[in-house]
Amino acid sequence: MEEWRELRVDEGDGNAKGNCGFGFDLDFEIEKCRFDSCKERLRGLFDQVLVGFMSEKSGGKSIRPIPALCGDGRPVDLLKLFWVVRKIGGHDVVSRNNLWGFVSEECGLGFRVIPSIKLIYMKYLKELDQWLQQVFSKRDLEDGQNGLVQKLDLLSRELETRFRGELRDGQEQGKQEKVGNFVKHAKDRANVLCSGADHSRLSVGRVAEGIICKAHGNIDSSIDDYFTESTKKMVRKAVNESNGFCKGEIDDDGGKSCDEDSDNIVASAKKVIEKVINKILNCGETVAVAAVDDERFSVQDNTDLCVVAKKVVKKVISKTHDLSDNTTHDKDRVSVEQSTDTAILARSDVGDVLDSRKRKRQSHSSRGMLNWLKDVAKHPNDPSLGIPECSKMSDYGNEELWVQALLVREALLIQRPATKGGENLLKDQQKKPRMHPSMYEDDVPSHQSTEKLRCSKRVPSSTKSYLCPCCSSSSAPQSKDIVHQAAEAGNSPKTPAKLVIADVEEPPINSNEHKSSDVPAEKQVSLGPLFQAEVPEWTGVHAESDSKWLGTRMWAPEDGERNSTNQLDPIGKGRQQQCNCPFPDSVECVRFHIAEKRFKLKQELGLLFYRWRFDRMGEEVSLSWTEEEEKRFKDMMRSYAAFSNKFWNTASRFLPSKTREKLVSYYFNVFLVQRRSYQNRVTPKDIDSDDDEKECGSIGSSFGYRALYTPGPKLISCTLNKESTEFV
Amino acid sequence: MRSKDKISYFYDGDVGNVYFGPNHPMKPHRLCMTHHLVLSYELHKKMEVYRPHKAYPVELAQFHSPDYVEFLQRITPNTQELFSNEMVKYNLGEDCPVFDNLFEFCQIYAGGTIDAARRLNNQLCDIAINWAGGLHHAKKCEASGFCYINDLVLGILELLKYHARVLYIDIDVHHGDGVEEAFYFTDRVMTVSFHKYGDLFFPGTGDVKDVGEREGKFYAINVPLKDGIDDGSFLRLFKTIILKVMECYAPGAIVLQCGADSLAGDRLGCFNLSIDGHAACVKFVKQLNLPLLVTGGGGYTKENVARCWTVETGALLGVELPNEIPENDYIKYFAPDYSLKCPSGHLENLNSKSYLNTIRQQVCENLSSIQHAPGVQMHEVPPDFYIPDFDEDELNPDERVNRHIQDKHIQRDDEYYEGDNDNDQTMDDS
Repeated sequence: MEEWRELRVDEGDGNAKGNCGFGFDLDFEIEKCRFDSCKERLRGLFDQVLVGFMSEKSGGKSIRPIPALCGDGRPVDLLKLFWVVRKIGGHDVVSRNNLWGFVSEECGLGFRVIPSIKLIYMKYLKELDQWLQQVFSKRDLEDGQNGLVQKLDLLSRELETRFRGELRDGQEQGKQEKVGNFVKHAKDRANVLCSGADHSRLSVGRVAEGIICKAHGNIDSSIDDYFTESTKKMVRKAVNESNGFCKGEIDDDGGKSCDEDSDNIVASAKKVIEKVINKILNCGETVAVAAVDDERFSVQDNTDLCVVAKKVVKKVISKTHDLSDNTTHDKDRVSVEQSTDTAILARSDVGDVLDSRKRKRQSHSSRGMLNWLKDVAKHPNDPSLGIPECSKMSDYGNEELWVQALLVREALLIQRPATKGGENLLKDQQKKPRMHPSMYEDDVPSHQSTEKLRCSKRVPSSTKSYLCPCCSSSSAPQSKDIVHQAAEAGNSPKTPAKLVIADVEEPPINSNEHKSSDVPAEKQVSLGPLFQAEVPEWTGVHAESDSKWLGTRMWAPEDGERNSTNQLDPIGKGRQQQCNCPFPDSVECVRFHIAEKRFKLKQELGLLFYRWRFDRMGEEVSLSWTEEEEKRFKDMMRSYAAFSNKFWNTASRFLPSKTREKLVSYYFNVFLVQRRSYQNRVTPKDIDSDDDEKECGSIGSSFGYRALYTPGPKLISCTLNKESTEFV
Repeated sequence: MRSKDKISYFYDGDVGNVYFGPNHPMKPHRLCMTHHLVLSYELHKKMEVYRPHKAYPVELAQFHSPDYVEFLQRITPNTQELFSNEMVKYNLGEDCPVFDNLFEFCQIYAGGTIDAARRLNNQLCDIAINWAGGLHHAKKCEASGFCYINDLVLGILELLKYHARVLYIDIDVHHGDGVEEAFYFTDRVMTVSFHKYGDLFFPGTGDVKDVGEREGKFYAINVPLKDGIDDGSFLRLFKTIILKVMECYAPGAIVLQCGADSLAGDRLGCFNLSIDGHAACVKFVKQLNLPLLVTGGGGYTKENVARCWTVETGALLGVELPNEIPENDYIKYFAPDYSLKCPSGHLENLNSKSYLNTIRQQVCENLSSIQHAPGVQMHEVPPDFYIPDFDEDELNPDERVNRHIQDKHIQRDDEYYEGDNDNDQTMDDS
């Protein structure tokens, strides 16, 4: 239902001018909404999504417990936390503006748990947020830059004007039918979405790949059915309209949608789940199919609808945010208003002309066009399936549709040659599997093919719009080249089947990528002189082995004292359980024993101690650093937490006296150890010293003489959430 | 009591300071931690520690193509942009970034493995350990999967100078594709790799059907496994297959790659082995009583790598290490319980009994094929076959399996290829 209403919004958008860019301004929506904690159901759904998301991310390895508990054992409402942070503008903004206290307060947990709130956000939600951001930035930001939104709007408006022209030419019924069709389509589509969402909801609990596939299959099949029936429906629809049903229906639904607030919430939450799954699917899915489907879609329902439909897709995506904004009152009002607008529009259209005979003829002709397009999609290589002659064309359907269809196709294809050259090199690299794919996130956006599924955070991310300016040219090019390209775009054998709920920008370029992901998982061993080692025949005689290079003996000292010490001293002792320190197991005690051990080792090894670089091991490395330098290092590390690449590139500028080697040594011997000891104390259940992007906190002052020799217990200060404590 | 085996351990202090770059899971600093932990358990007192020589380019070119070696030597982080074509050609960047001291790093770890092999050849030791080595993905003409120079191939080539047949065993979670590929055509090296296979897991090779070609046919053994294999099933499979291999192949020396990413909780791995289970494999190979070259390999959760390889150093020395980690500079990495053994995780074992049985059967079948077509004169006892310098009667049977016990094991394992009556028949005939 929600979808339907939304479609109305878009319909209003598409038909009534001036509603440009609706739904893309996320902040706008967010600001308007208030958090309502009563929506238990929504929260449950969110948790499910989160669990699914996390287990997908971690490959089912480390699922964090839900509900999350903060420091004092109170459960944290993740949805609320997520929502509040999102509302403020995301993790970075919150951190930058020291707003964690506010967030914590907003979640009803008070100031004392700020660190754990922050931590929980990092552990549970940051990835989800980043992922969402990624999805959005790909659409919204890029769009904003590339002006895709504007283009879409322009296009729709252009179509609108053309349409008006048409109307003036006395083909009003065309439009009317379109509106009718669109409503029908929208409805069907909404149904498809809903059924998909149901499946998704069932599956999210486990998010096993197979189940996703099944859900996807279901979506596919329902879409399949839908397509085969769509022509029938079109005819039926025409009749309906002529009877004026459409009007009533619209009004009816407009009223209905008002009553269905709670359903909306569930529906939007469902959509989020579905979106998550679709996203995952889209990654591995054949994107080319999406392109073709888009194309089909466009012709079938005429371009106007296509644009609107694309908006719908966008809308669905932007709806993800509705998950958080569960009180959609404001929006409801807006959409109700808009659906009323639409209803009025439709009504006036219905009122305009009632020539059902003519309409029927037209729906027949658009079926012809649909068939043509199907053929093209099925046999993209077949040159005989050119563009039908003009006369036939007009026979098939109204010319406008054809021109638009061809333009869309052209636009789809034109992008490809341009990007091809650049991609070749990339493709070359893509052939080689990556051992650790997720770490190239920022650098190489697309090599879906070879990575482990469970590692793949990425979504295909070609950001270019294929609605390029040449859309407005009206010639329908028919060069061989393009036909050939079409072949590539449609390289899936059963084209008509799948309508991936694809986002607008994804399809065309990625068909290349899809091909590479078709490479079978089984790799063959490479054979040939370039791959195998030259192994000489065994002659039974020892070949010469260079006895000069056998390594340099470092230990044990060769003076024979080895045996005497060895046999008396049992080796491999563990940690002493008891010591005579005044405060066993205190920081000082542990430090003392480490130092003691180190001294002993130094004595024993002598010079070797330095040869093995023991002098550069452990926190003592920090002794050669001034406090100022250490502080700068840590601050920088913190501020570059998400872009560690940048850190290492700029570090030498901030700390000119330190070589890279020293920086690395400090990083591993001091910084990481301190971060680790922070984790040991604060988050003992989630320790990871190998993730470079972990939040860096530290306990206690820096290691040094002062720390070593200051007697008595010292207050340990927690420096993780410096910002927020200051804020408080 | 004096240690029974003479053990050489290779370490260079410079190896730990290499940094692959931020977010790169391969952290050579784990080698520092391992060495440190080994020393804090005072294991060095039982072995000889050597600093490897830095392998010369010409030594590296024993396997690798000279142009690749030359390029590795030449490239630096600052010049890499000028050579983008070569970077692609040699598969550098991303997985295998160019970093400071890259070539020196390669020289050190390759030198370690080569030296280890030479010491074994010259019978200067019985077991040689080089935790820095074991980079099994590197190919002849390109880098791959964090590996630049394939020290294992170089080490095996060195061993082949003294031994007719060398057995390579790989318990890294990733397939030992570089080594397998290098010796795909030869029967002088048998490669046995236990690894995760499927789901596009790196590197994507290592199906049980890949068995080698030409003379090397059936001399490459792959044991593809699924996620979450645990100690019990892994060890059973490991012991069965290795015993069978020993019976069929009778190698003169063994190279064991001990990648620690097959441990539970590894950052990239997906197996569920405990350190004890991992180390049990090492112990098992040790008691086969052959010259043994042990290398490191993968392993992306630093502290577990250090734990694992320390335990295994101890195991090779015949020392059972106490669980409480002694104080050392890196003690904080071993929090919260500061203990040596890390238990296996709670991953679901996706390897069903029937799946493992199928794999085992398949492998044993392949192995049976070579019994009838021994490549390198099997009847000839290799001249340098390891002969222990102590009396066998003294042996604790738990520690080392003598030939008799081994044979008994093998008999028992016949049940695994009951379907293959042909082979049994011929075996009985002979």
